[in-house]
Amino acid sequence: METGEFLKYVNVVLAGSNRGCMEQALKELRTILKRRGAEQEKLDLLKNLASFSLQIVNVMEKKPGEELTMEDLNEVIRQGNEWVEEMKRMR
Amino acid sequence: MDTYLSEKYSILDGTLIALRTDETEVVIPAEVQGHRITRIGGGSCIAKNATLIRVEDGIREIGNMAFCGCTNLKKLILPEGVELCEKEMVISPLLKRGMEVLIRRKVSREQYEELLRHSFLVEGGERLVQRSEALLSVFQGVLDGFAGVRRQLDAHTLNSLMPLILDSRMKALYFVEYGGILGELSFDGQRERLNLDGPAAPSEEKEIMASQRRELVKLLLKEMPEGLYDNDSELFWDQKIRNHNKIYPNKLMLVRFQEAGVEERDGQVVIPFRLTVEKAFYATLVRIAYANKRYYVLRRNFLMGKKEMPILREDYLEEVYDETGEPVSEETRDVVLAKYLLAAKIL
Repeated sequence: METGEFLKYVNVVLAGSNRGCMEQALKELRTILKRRGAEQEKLDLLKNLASFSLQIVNVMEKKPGEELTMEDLNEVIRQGNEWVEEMKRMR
Repeated sequence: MDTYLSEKYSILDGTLIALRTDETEVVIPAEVQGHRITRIGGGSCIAKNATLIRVEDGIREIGNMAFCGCTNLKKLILPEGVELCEKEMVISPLLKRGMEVLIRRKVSREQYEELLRHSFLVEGGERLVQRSEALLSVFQGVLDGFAGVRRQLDAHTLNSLMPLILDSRMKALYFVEYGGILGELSFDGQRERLNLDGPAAPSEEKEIMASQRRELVKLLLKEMPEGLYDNDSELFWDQKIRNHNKIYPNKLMLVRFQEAGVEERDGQVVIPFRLTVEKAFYATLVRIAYANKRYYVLRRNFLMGKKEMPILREDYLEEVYDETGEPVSEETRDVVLAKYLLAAKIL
């Protein structure tokens, strides 16, 4: 699956969505794209994104009205992983 | 592979992955511009202004939390035969938010007769359905949703509610909520056990509950103002237990249907069910004078919408207590209840 097409779907499900819905919507999208034979890398990315709705909102707020790029999605993952590490340290 | 992306609907391979609209009344069609929708995807619908959503026939499945972005939704109309039995909650979160769900379900003639047997007429000509095997078979998916929340509760919270959960005589399908949904109840003697700490022996369990309820009644008796007591009256004073929500559950899930709306089709019966979770279940302690003594009847009310509805049935009455908060003998109980029913013009 081309990155452009993948991003189009991701942006469609995230546009206007709230944190509660994002997780489910991304999971739903992953199921469909898996059936369509999307690369494992993209499926893993969707799985990780579904866990980081707070970070998605943070990144989206920085560029209102604009579509997210692969760099933005990677930034979400980076922030998410950072948050996970922080949580581990706090324990 | 079928793809349709527009401002309002986005569909991938028959699944609605995004619905974005500002409309107040929304119809989700089974087809958009020649693209079929058979499933409403999880978390897909963002319709903040929508108060009513009607899902058209042909849509067979609804994903988890599909409508969680419809924060003002009051009524959801689902087609007959739509699949709700997901692993996680589908419509239970909506019910918990006070929404009304209308759904037509097809049942066999035998199931319908069982539902009729396990239901009774309430205001507005609707039948309120009690827990029964037939009802469980129709709404298992919804019940599973509630069960999912139940598992998250800690035993301490549950125990504090046990007096009210067990031993009631109310005959309807309920779910009790305190913070979250606590557990499924039936008050027809077939109740499901709430076993967070493992099963307890039934007699032991009953004994614990009875003693906790006695404590509650004693507490209420202390709060009852003396001045309102009048020896010449039959029915004295209702101590509403509204301020005891910490120990009294306050929400019920009710399943109702209008007999007039029932249709027979191909040897099966289609029932238009109405599901709601309502703030409900107030308890009332009623003081009764009999043979120069005071007795207290613990009665249950519930709310139909905003209207408080006393339960006008003898078998809904709870135990009778004496002035010290101890339950009275069965013989005294029967007399006091009869007196109460007469006084309340229930008989």
